Amino acid sequence: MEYNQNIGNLQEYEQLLANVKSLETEIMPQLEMLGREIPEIYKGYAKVVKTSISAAIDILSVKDSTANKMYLAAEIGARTLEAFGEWKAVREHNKMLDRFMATKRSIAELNMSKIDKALSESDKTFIRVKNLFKTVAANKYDLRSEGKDKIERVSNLLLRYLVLYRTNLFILNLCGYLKAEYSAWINNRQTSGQTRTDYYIVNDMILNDLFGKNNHYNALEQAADSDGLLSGAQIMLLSDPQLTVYSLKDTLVQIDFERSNFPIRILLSQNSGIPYYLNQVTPLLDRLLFDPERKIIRNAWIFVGILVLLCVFLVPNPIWGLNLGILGAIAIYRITKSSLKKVRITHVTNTIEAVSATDESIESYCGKVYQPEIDYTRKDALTASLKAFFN
Amino acid sequence: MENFEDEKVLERIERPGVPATIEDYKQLGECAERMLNKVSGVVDNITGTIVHIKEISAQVELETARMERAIDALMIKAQRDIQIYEKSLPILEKQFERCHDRMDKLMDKSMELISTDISDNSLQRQEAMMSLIEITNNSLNSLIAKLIPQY
Repeated sequence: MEYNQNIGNLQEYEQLLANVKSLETEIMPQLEMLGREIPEIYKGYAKVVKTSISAAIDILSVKDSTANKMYLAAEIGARTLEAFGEWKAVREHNKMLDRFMATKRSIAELNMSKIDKALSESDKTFIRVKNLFKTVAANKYDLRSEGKDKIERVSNLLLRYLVLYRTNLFILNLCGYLKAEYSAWINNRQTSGQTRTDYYIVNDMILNDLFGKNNHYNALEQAADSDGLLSGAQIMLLSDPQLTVYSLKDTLVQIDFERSNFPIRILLSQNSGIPYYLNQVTPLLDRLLFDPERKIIRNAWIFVGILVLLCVFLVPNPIWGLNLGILGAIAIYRITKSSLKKVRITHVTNTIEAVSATDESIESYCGKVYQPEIDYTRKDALTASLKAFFN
Repeated sequence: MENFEDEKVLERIERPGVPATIEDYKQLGECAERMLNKVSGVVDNITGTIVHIKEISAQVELETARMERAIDALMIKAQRDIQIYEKSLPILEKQFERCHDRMDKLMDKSMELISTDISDNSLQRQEAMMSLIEITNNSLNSLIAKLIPQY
C-alpha cells in the first residue's frame, strides 16, 4: 500500500489496531475448531460400531431377517454416538465461551478507568486539532500564478495538517470503540455490535465533514475543474492518495486530468492514488465493455454464409440443397443459442468476481481492514444432537 | 455367495461314510483363509479408526489446555498492567498536563499564521510550527497508546 510521504505515526497506530482484542481473534477460531473436532471423535466410535456389526453379519452368515435387525441396531447405535458427540461439543463450546466471557468481564472492570482516561485525553487533543484543521480546510489558496515548487510546497504542508487530523480522529474512534466494547463486556454481552474503526471509516468521515455526504466525486470534479483558486479542503482532496481514491471508488470513471489547469495538474501529478486507481479500473472497464456474444453471433453468420454458398454451388439438386440448407441453419441456430447461454453465464460470473476483487483492492488501499466474523452465540446442545441423530 | 460355497464345502467334508478328498480339504483351507482375511481387514479398519480417534482426542485436550492457559495468562497480564498503571498514574498525569499545555500554545500560534498568504516566509513559519505540533502530538498519542489495552 502506498502512502504520501508525510504519514507521521500512521503505521504505528495501525499496529495498535491490529493488537487490540488480538486475543479474541486468537481464541474464538480455536473454539470453533474444538466444536468441529469433538464430534469427529464420536463419529469415529460410530464408524467402529457399524464396521464391527457389519463384519459380524458377514462372518457369521446370519439370516436376512436377523441381519436387518442387526443393521438397524448398528445404525441407531452409531447415530446415538454421533448425537452425543454433537451434544458434548456444544457443551464444551458453551463452557469455554462462558469462561471467556467471565475473563472479558474482569478485564473490562479492571481497564475501564484506563479507557476512560484514554478517551478523555484523546478527545481533548482532537478538539484542538479539529479547530486547526477546519481553519486550514476553509482557507483559500491562490495557486493560479504559482510555479511547480510553490504548489508542491503548499500541498505538502496541507497534507501534514490532514495527517495530523486523520491520526487523531482514528485514535479518538478507537478509544470510543473500546469503551463501547468494555461496557458491553461488563454487562455480560460478548460484543457491543459496533464496527471496529479503521482508516477507511475515518476517511469517509473526513470527506463527509468537508464536502457533505455522497458528494465526494462531485467535490473532486469541481476541484479538478478549478482554475487554481482552491480551498485547503480541495487541495487536500487532490493531493491525498486515500481521499482521492475514496472519492473515485464505485464510479469506474477513467479520469483524465490532462485538460485541467496547470496548478491542478501539478497537484495530481504527485498523487500516487491516481495511477493506482487507473491500474485497477482500466482492466475492469475493458472487461465490462467486452461483449463476448458479439463474436459468437458474427461467427454464426459466417457459418450461415458458408452454408448458403455450399448449398447453391456444390449441391446439384435444388431440393436437396434447400433441405440441407434448412437442416444446417437449424443446427447452427441451436449450437449458437447453447454457446451464447454458456458464455453469458461465464462472463457474468467472471465480471462479478472482477468487480468484487477491484472493490476489495480499492477499499484496502483506502484503509479498510477486514475483520474476521466471530460467532459469539451460545449453541443449543439439544438441537445440535437431534440434528445429528436425524441427519 | 462365498459363505454359501463355504457351507457346501463343510457339508461335503462332514458327510457320514464318505471320505473327504484332498480337493475338499484344499477348499476348506481356502475358506479358512478367506475368513481370516475378512477378520484381519475388519480389525485393521477398526484399529485405524481407533488410532485416528486417539489422535483427535489428544489434539482436543491440547487445544483446550492451550486456551485455558491463554485465558489465565490474559488475566495475570491484565492485573499486572493495571498495577503498573496505578503506580505510574501521577507521572502520566504530569506528562499529559505538560503536553496539553504545550499543544495549547502551539495551536494558538499556528492559528494566527493561517492566512491566504503563501509567501516563502509565511510557509516557512507554518512548516516550523507544524513540526513542533507533530512532535507534541506524537508524544500525546504515545501516552494515550500506553493506556489502550492490547488484548
